[in-house]
Amino acid sequence: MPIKLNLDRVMLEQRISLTELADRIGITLANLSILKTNKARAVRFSTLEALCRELNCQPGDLLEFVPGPPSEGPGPAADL
Amino acid sequence: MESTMKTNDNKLPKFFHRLFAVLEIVVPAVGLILCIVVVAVPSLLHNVQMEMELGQVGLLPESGALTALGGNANAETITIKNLQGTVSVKSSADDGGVFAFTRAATLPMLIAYPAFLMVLFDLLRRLFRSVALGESFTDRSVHLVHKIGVTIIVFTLLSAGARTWHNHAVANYLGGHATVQGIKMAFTPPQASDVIIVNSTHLDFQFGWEGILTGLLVLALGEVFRQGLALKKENDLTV
Repeated sequence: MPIKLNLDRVMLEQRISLTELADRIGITLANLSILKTNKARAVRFSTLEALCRELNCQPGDLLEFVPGPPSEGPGPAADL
Repeated sequence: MESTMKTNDNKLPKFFHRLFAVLEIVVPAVGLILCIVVVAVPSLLHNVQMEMELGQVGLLPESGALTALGGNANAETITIKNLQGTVSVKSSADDGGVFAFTRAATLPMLIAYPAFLMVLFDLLRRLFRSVALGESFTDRSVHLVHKIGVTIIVFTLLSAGARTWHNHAVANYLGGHATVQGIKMAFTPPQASDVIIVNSTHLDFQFGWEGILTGLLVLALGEVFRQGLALKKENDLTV
């Protein structure tokens, strides 16, 4: 997956634990763990918004594009 | 509220899970009992009236075997076209009778049908167990649905072959052993072995499209399940 989520780095900077962040943004520890370990296939805007609000950062601080092989799944929508 | 709805939704899959679990035991047991009755207790079948659908049956008389009861009694030759009669099968007490032959021809089907149903009910029981547990879209469920579809198609083809073979075997047997009754003519049954001609067009491959279509429909549902599984995996990893 070329899109990397730098959640662990931002959490370290903000000195906040996984459990505390999960409680604050209202998602399960398991789902937050999926985000932290970069296993997520997609992130909802609502989740990104909550993360940015609680971590006091911008989406660009959390997301990073790393060149590499494209991920599986649907490509751009084709013109019909 | 949500948990109540979930409980109600689970009732039907649980019911089917239990139903197929019972049928999985009952059907082979009944099949086994039938096999034992047919093989070991043939005397029970001696009073049973056997019905066979043989399609159109023709008569090939030997020369002089037929005598007209009315009309032109002085005719030297009688030409008969499309003479049809009813094949009447009477059970015989000895083991060489038609029942003994039919027993041997029917036994493989008596074993195959319950075996197929047992496999089908087992697959359905496992599928409904997964559904009852809320695991509809899993690799296991998709695999089970595909297996059910393939099983139905394979069994339809196999049973068609078995029925065709059975009918041919019975027809061949009757060709050598049966006599025609109920024809309004004085008839002396000849001794030739090919007295009864069974129209072979009625004994073609006994193929039922229903089974094939059902199997294809289940396979299509399996493909829907597979795509549902892909969506579920995608959804599970969307946070």
